[in-house]
This record gives sequence, C-alpha cells and structure tokens, in this order.
Amino acid sequence: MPDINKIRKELDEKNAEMEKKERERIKEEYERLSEQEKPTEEPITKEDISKSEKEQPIQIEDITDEFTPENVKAAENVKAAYEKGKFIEVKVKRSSGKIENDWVISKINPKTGEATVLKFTSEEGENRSFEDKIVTLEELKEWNKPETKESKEKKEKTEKKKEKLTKKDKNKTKEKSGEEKENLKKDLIEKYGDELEKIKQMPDDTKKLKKAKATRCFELIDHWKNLGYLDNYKGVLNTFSELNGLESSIFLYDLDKADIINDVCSAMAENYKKWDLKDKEKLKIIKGFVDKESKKRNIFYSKDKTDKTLKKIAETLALEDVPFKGNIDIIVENIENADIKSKTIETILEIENKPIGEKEELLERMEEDKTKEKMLSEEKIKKMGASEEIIEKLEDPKILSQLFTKGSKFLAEGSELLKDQKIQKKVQEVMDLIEKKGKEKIPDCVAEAAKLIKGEKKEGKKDGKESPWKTVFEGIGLLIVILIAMSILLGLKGNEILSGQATGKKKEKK
Amino acid sequence: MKQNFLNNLPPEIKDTTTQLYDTILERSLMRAYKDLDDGKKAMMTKIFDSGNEKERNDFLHNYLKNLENIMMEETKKIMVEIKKNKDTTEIQ
Repeated sequence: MPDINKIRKELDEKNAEMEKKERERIKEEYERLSEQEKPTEEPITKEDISKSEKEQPIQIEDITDEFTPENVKAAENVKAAYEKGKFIEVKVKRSSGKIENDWVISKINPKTGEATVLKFTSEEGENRSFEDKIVTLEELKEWNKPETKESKEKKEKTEKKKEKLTKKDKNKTKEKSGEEKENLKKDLIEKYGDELEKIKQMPDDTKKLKKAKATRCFELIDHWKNLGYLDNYKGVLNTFSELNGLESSIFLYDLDKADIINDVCSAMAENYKKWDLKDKEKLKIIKGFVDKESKKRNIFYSKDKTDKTLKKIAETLALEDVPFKGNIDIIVENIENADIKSKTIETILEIENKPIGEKEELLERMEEDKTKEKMLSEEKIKKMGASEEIIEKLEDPKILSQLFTKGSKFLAEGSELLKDQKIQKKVQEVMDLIEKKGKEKIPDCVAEAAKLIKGEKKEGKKDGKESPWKTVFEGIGLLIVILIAMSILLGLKGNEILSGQATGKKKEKK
Repeated sequence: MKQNFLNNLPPEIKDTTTQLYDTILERSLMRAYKDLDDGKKAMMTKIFDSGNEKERNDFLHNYLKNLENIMMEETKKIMVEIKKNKDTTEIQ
C-alpha cells in the first residue's frame, strides 16, 4: 500500500513550486509588456475631469453613501429648529420652473442629503393640509442663494419686461378681439335677455309655478354671472330682482340664494377689469348689490357673511392690482366687524407686496378653493335632506369624523338654523314626543354612570377631575343632535319651516 | 370647534340640546345595562353605589366599551321615530 501521507506531501511541494513558477512568469510578462507599451492617448488632464463631470452629472447616491459633515449639520439644524417649535423656511423651485417662497424643511436625511420640504395649504389646525416634495441639499442651496445687487436688478428688469409684455399682449388681444367681443356681447345679452323676459312672463300664482320660476332664475344667474361684465351686470341684477319676489318657493331657497350671492360677488371681482365702466361706478354696483341683499332676511346670509363676502371681494381686487386708496377702501369701509376689517386690510397689505406672478397664482388658488368649498357645502348640506341619507352616514365612522372635522361649515350653518325660534319650537316638539313615548325607569347605577360620562360632580363632592368620558361623548352627542336637528328640518319642506307652517300640528280635515 | 359651537347656541337651544343628548345617553346606557349578565349588573350596582371614581371608570371601560356604537344606533331609532311621526302628521 502506498503511503498516502507521502503522496500528499509530494503533491503539495509540486503545487508550491508550480505556483512560484507561475507567479514569476506573470511578473516577467508584465514587465515585458510595460516596457513595450507606448501611450496611444494624451495624458488625462484636469480639464478632462471637469468636462467629464459636466457631461455626466454625479448622482447623489454616488457621493453620499456616507454621512457627510455638511449633511449632518444641516439635519441637526432642522432638528434643532423643530425642537424649538419652528421650521426652517426656504424657497423651492416648482416643476414649472418657478421659485416659490413659504416652503419649510420638514427633515433632512443626513446620509443621502435629501430634504423633505412642505408647503402648508390650509390654516393652522388639527387637520392642516400641505403638499410635500423631496429635494437635495444642493438644489436647496441653489434656490436659496442670497440675492446679489446684480441678480436683484436683473430680476426686477425681467419682471418689468414681463409685465410690459403682458400689458402689450393684452392690448393687442383686446384690439384684435374687440369686434368679436362686440358680437359675442350682442349675442349673449340677447340670449340671456330673452330668457329673463320669458321668466318674467311666467305665472307664479301657485307654489308649484313659483318653484319653477325660482329654479329658472337660479339657473340663469348661474350661467350669466361669469359673463355679466358684458352688460355690467345689469341682466344678472334684474334676474335677482325677479328672484327676490319668489322667497320660500323652493327647498332651501335661502341657502341657494346665499350661495349665488357669493358666486356673483366673486365673479364681479374676478372680472373687474373687463367691465366697461369707471372704477367708482363698478364699485358702486358691487357695494350696492351686497348692501341690498344683506338687508333681506336670510338665515344663511347674516351680517358676518356679508362682511366675509366684502372681505373676499376686497382681497380679489387687491390680487388684480386694483389700488386700495379710492377703490378697494370703498368696499372695506363697509365691513362692520372690526376683526374681519383689520384682517382684510392686513391681507391686502401683504398682497400688495407680492410680485405679479404670485398674485396670479393666488387668484388661481382662490378659484380652486371656491370650487372645493362649494362641493363640500352642497354634498354635506343638501344631501342631508333625507333622513335615510343621514342614517347611512351614521353607519360610516369615516364620514362622521369628516363631518365633524372638515364640515365646520355644515355645523356652523346648522347652528345658525337652530337659532331660529320656529325651528327651536319644532325641535322642542320632537323632544316632547320622545319623552311621551315612555321613559323607562332607570336603575340608580345607570343614572350615576350617565352623570359620570357627562362629567357631573358626585353629590357632596366639590372638586375633582373632569370625566375622561366627557370629551368623547360630548363630541359625539353634539354631532348626533345636529344631525337629528337637520333631519327634522330638512326632512320637512324648507318653505314650511321658514313660514312657520310646519309646526307639527294636525291638518284640519276638510 | 365644539366649544365655539356651544357658545354660538342661544340658551334655549342649549337646554334642548342637553335634553336630547341626555335622552340618547340614558337610552344607550340602559340598553348596555340590560345586555350585562346578572353578575355584572350586581357589580355595576355595587361600584356605582359605593365605589371610587377609578373603579367606576374601569367598569365603564371594561364592560361598556361599545357605548359609542349603541349611542349611534339609538340615534337612528329616534330619527326613525321622528320620521314616522312626521309621516303620520302629514297623512292626517
């Protein structure tokens, strides 16, 4: 038998020798080639490196796989500000190319150097909404470079140029479309005027006829309002006069009326520069319209709402670059509520300092908000008309919480309704009915539990913490009450409630 | 917001609101009480008769967890009653 250990040893020695020979061979070959090889290209210069960097932008991931002191410092700054309850404000470039103020840094990833930036799109509150974006620190640096004198001058020049161009373009378009506009004006005034004449001829002797007439008026105003400037709103205002004679003819007449008043006022302000009248005359018409409508009894159009309408008109005009003195101040001086008045003036001053581009953007956003608000109002109030719908909504906790948080308008209007004496009477009647239905005798422990939930103090106990149940059930309780009240009110016909006919009394048999 | 809403209510409607809320709460509690077995009912009587606030809160938390849902259901019932009453009135 061969000695296996001996064979292994021999093999190892052989391998070692072969490896040594191979290494030597490779070394020789390398040296030989190095001597033979002559450079075929020019040596790489610094310019080449910079050129290649320019051609192929460095990817963030390539250079930031490790924490860099700069990124760490930036992340720490953001964190420190956040701990103090602040955000670091920055300018951010939109995809449209526009650099915008009022963004804040939410966080910075110290490893990647990526920053999450936010822009709040609603007022401060529990459910504050915002839009967000992820950008790099490099980009932030670029967009937030301190303005030099030269760049400032350049920017101002560009803006002036842009403004000039816009005016020039507008004038050109105005001239060009002058004839077309005249024709359109004639056609539309004729068309809407005809419709108004037809409405005027409609009989309104019965409730049904009144309803049909009022519906046509609402529709006509809605169509006409955005082109009302063509006849300086004469037609729209005449339609309003017609509508004013048809109170309580349709379900939720006052609510629709309040909405359409706001819509017309917004349209008047948004199209302000298109009217063919002098500023003072336009303002007189707008002011007169709001004054007239505010004097009419409408639970959905209280004095506060009038002030808010005037605020909105004033702000829209400011965004359209209408001067404050001698113009917007005519609207502002009619705001009675001191708080609303001061806030309006404050906002106008802010608007006046904004560049034109930003004003245009704000105007656009205002238009979007108006559409959203209208959707909420219509969905949440009109749909509440049928009790079945409310029952459906009660089954969905998500909708309930939305109603309670986002639907403040719904609740506010509900509370306005409840202020009406006739409505209070109706609610009381329902309460009496519930009581009459037979109240079970409840055990003492249940009564005590109710007291605890409501946060009532135990007899003889003067102090003590507020019940942890109180907040939860008070919230839910209020919502329930409002929903019931709306169901009672909207389940009946609006005109009956408002005219006091729907008091639940039995109708006399004929 | 809740606070604002309450402040906006005139005193007359504030009373009605409280009354309506009390009715719903009592009805709901009564229903939850009826669903308890005899042992728990006795426990509730004992705790709400002589127990401290912590024991009371614990009892509500442990045995009447679904009170919010019951309140919603009771609300629906009241709304159906209202609707029935309205329909009867209109027919008459």
